[in-house]
Amino acid sequence: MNILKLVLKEILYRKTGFFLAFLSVVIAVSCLSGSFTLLKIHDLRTDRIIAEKEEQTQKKMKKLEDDYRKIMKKLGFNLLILPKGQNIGDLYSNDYAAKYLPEKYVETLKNSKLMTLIRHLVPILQQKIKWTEKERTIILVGVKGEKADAGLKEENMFDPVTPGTLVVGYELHKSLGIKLNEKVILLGKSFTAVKLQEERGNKDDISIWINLKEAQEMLDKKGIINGIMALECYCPLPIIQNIRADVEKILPETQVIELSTDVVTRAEARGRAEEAAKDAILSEKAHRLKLRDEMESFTSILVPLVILACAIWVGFIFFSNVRDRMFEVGILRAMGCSSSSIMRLFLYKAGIIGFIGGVVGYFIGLFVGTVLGESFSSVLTYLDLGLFLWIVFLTPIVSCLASWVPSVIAAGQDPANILGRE
Amino acid sequence: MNILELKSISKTYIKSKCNILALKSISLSLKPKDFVVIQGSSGCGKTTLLLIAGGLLKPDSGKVLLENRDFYSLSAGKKSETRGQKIGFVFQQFYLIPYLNVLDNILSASLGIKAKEKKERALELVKHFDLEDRVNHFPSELSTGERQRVALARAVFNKPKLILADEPTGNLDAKNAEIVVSYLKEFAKKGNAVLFVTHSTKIAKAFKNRIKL
Ligand SMILES: Nc1ncnc2c1ncn2[C@@H]1O[C@H](COP(=O)(O)OP(=O)(O)OP(=O)(O)O)[C@@H](O)[C@H]1O
Ligand SMILES: [Mg+2]
Repeated sequence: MNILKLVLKEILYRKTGFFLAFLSVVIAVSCLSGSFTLLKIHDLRTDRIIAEKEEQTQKKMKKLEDDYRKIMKKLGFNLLILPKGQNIGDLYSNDYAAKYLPEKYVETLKNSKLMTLIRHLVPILQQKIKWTEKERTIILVGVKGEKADAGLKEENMFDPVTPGTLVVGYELHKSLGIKLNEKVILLGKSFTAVKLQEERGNKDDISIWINLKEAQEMLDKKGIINGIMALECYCPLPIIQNIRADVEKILPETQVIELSTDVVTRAEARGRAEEAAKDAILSEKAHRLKLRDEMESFTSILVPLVILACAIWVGFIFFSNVRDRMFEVGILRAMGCSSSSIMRLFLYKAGIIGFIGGVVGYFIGLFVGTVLGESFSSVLTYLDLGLFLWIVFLTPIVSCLASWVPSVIAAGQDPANILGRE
Repeated sequence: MNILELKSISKTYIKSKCNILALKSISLSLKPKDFVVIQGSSGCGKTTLLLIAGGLLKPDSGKVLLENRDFYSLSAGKKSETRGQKIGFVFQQFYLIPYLNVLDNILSASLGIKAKEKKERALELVKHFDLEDRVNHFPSELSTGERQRVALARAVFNKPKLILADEPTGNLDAKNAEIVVSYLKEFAKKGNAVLFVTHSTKIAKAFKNRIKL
């Protein structure tokens, strides 16, 4: 006969008391392990969501980067060279051009060393006029009739407009019903509409393009232009400042304005997209972190409370157990059992309850937590051996602590007091 | 050498309202082979005397010597160890452990001590006290007389030097009382001592060493 055997026999004899204590340990432990499981599920899901988002963003960024590189190769930057003092806001007002440049500036620029950086030079003469035949206000744009320089690889940025033809902006051909190759009278002169522009959503929609020479004649501006568009300037962003200064040096009384090109816009868009994506990830992270904090602070209050309540409950059950077993304690003491053996009699029981309750409670918590947080099939994913071992190690200790006072009372009983009473 | 010697023991139970004088200047000694019967009416202090003799209840005055050593001067641990080795109790209420069967109840006496050949000895006692077909029964399933015999078997299990028996025949029929008494007589003859308490004058008269309380 040893104490452990005695303890086991007593447990089997007083099943109800054992079951109640066991139940409270199970409740406490399953609360704990369930909370841990839910938090872990949350963490893993957060990691997964963030990783997915990061991957998506990276893909998107890579695509944007590719686009950007392709566009950079194709387009370059566009500059607009205007007479000095020309307000850009006045460009589209009725008295459009108060200031002009000599057309020969185009030649000057063409012969300068800057042409290694600039691919096209397009002189333009542009003015807001009344299209008397159609009773409409339009922007008349005169552009060059011949292709740009030989020697450079030609890519048509601006289609040359040959004399006697014109290109019609979207709004104009749409509302006036102008058809392709239709004859159109503009300020008393007959033109063939060789091209109808697509909708652009800007002043181009109310513009008409004709040959520069004809425009100069019609507007009585021979040999002069409003400005030069320098298209496809191939230089990295920081150098743009130098190019401006260089142009202004070669062409006196001019100013250089950088047109908001597709490239810049796209580069900006790309930057914005990247930032937005990063922001989205950050805010998602913050959101999930906040959620976790809430869960954690909730469980960090609930779980200790449940554990405390269950420990008190176990203590009460042991008090009642000690009271039921007073005579047993007395007779064992009378037969030579030391008080420490009596103490062990109760603490072993508490330890056994803690151990079995811990094991069962851990798995119940794991199952319930997994079923609530995800699905039953992923139970094994969240099996946490470390937590399990901690629980199996700590629960018997906590259970012993909970039954400590009753055990001490039992061990401290004087057998004479117990057995001396009738 | 005396196995047990009580020297002018007095005990008063102090309750809030009245003091109950249970024992007043009792002296007695038990040598090996002594079988002493203490007879007295109910409430005269027989159980009190046994508890004091067994080291379970400290007397107000007087000395208890167990094999010439002052029992109450021992530490609590030593006292219970000595009790486990030297003294066998048979309590008036038996105090069998409810969740142990007959065999385990007898074996429970060995909890406090190291004993060899435990089970054979327990079975031997079961046989001697005519409990063979009750080995696996729990106390609640036994008659009072059977419980009393189990309590006696448990008391003698550790082969003590001294048996303190409180009404061990109180609930037994003539035949079983005879088994118990003769066993205790046999036990005393082997060089041990028995302090046997009874309220029955009839039983007491059968013994030559009697003390009337
Ligand atoms: N713990 C106690 N507190 C107060 N009084 C007690 C206590 N135990 C016993 N007494 C009293 O001491 C007296 C002696 O009691 P004791 O149990 O020794 O009697 P007894 O001779 O064994 O009686 P019985 O034959 O009925 O068993 C009784 O009057 C009893 O009421
Ligand atoms: Mg009595």
